[in-house]
Amino acid sequence: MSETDPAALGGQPFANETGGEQLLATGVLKEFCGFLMNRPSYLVGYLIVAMAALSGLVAPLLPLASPVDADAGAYLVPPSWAHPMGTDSAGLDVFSRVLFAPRVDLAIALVSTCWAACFGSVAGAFVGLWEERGGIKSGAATLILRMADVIQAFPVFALALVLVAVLGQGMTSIIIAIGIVNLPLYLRLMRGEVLRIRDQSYVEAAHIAGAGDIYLLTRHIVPNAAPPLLAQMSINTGVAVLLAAGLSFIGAGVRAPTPEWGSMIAMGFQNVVTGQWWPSMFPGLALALTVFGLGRIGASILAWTNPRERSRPTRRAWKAFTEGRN
Amino acid sequence: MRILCYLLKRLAFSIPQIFGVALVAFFLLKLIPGDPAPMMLGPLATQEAVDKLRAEMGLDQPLPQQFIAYLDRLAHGDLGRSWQTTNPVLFDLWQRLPATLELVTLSLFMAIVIGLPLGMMAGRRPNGPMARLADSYCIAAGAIPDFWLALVLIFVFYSIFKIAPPPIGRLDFAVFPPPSITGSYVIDALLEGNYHSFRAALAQLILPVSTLGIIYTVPILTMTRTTVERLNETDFIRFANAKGLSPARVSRHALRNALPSVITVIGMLFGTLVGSVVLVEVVFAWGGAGQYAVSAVLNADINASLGFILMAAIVSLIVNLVVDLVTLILDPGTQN
Repeated sequence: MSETDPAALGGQPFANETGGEQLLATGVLKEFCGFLMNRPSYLVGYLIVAMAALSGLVAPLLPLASPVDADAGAYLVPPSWAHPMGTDSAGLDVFSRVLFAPRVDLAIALVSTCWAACFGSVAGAFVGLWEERGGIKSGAATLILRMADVIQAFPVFALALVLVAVLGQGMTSIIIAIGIVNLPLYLRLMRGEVLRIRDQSYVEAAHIAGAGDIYLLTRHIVPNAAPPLLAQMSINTGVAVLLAAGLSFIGAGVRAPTPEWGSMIAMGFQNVVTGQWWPSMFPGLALALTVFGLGRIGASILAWTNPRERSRPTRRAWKAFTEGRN
Repeated sequence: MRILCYLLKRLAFSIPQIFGVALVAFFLLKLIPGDPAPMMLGPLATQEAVDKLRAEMGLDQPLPQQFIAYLDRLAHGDLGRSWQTTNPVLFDLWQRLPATLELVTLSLFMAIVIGLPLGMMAGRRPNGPMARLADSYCIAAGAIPDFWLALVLIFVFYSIFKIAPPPIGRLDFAVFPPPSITGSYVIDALLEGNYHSFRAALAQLILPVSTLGIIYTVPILTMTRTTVERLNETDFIRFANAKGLSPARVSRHALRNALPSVITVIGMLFGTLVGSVVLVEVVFAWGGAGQYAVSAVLNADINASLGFILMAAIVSLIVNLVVDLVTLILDPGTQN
């Protein structure tokens, strides 16, 4: 899950002052939970994404109607006890399909986000470090940056669409395509972080003391760049879900009987025009909720790393404070 | 003179980008598995015929030379033929581009009309009710898939209330399209003075434009808001407030200084929209370049697909160029 692993936020520069990184990591985790508990508008994101992931995981174990076998004769049945979200024009149970869909949608989004983030941020880190080193290193950095420029010259959805066309339809192609269009984002983000961190005096000191690039990256840069990277990954997983659903919606992604929100919306499209709203509306709601949840998770990490935001008293804390005074 | 100088410099910067875009398109073309020559000739072709076609298409040349030949063809506007329509791809795109640009431009216009004032008001009072409204709006609109919102709007305004026309493209079947002058039905109908088809074309535009407008307000709103929030802290705005200028006056000063960054976002959005409009075009059977691209992709019509992304990239390069020039005129300090 792209849920933050707050332990990854540990290892901040003050790690040595409080003694023991292990201790700090659990401390941070506790503090982060407290932070969330006081801010329900962020907490709800974690709950939604956990629900989506859980429904994808346990859907096969639940006593649901089959998501791929049609109930013969029950075409376009409105929502009822037997079919809580009705059935679609092929007689498939919408509720069961909505619950099964995260298996495909979240999987595509997570895998594509993870590989793009891995490659993009590693490349971005080296670009940032090498940019002013001169010689071949500078040349390589400039070349990589220009390549990112060219990828970003194409509109995201158009490029993803044509990549799928070239690679051939299928899950792997979608994952590759979504990853490629997102790579430059991570490259730029990481490069920006490196440029910011590189000029801190403790990093310069380490460099002068003879620390190699790998040491600088793992010891100083990655821990400091982790929060914005995680926030970006979380938000981007949401965008990737939208992209995957969009590709499937026009028929260039996941094929029809596989339960997937985008293709479900597409299947119900004609029925919406004639008034049977349920085959399209429910999967769309599930999709929007999931993207909303992922966006909230990203926002919570950004807020957590912003000192002003983190220490801002919540309404609940303020109430407790004033009540305590009376 | 300075602007001319800047323009030349900026154009010089676009050349490697266009080159890069063409390189990517060529790379994608080569990525397709299989040899195109036997595929074009069919299974019964003799080896000599295949070899002859390969030589004609330049497929027996080394890759760099193939790329040069490809660039040469691009420079002459030859994007190949679409096997679906059997027309040259450039011709097809040229016919469909106005429909897409009309939709994109009007949607952006709507996004600006909502986003700019809301962002200004939210930025003026970062903790006020408008800021809360803007927050909720951004969170909600940022999560909703545009193709689904289009369906919701169709369901509500066509299926239930019967206010909107059916989603069957740019004009009702019963209405004759106006003579093509600019390619935009709305403008052409106005030029012709045909009120009836003007109204019909406008009615068809309302739902798709609202869909895109509602969703793509978010980046404009966010950018305006953060810029205005930052400007609130600057000396000249504080001075303007201290002098006792009316809030409307102060807002005008702020707007003038927020415009360059907002216009940059609008330019980037235009590029994004040329890609994202594909989905909404499909929902409304719009018949623009986006829908053309979808049917090309689904039917493995590779020349047409590549033509579409080349066109999309070039449109966004041109828009970015224009945006940079406008920014320069608004804020001469940005030329470096």
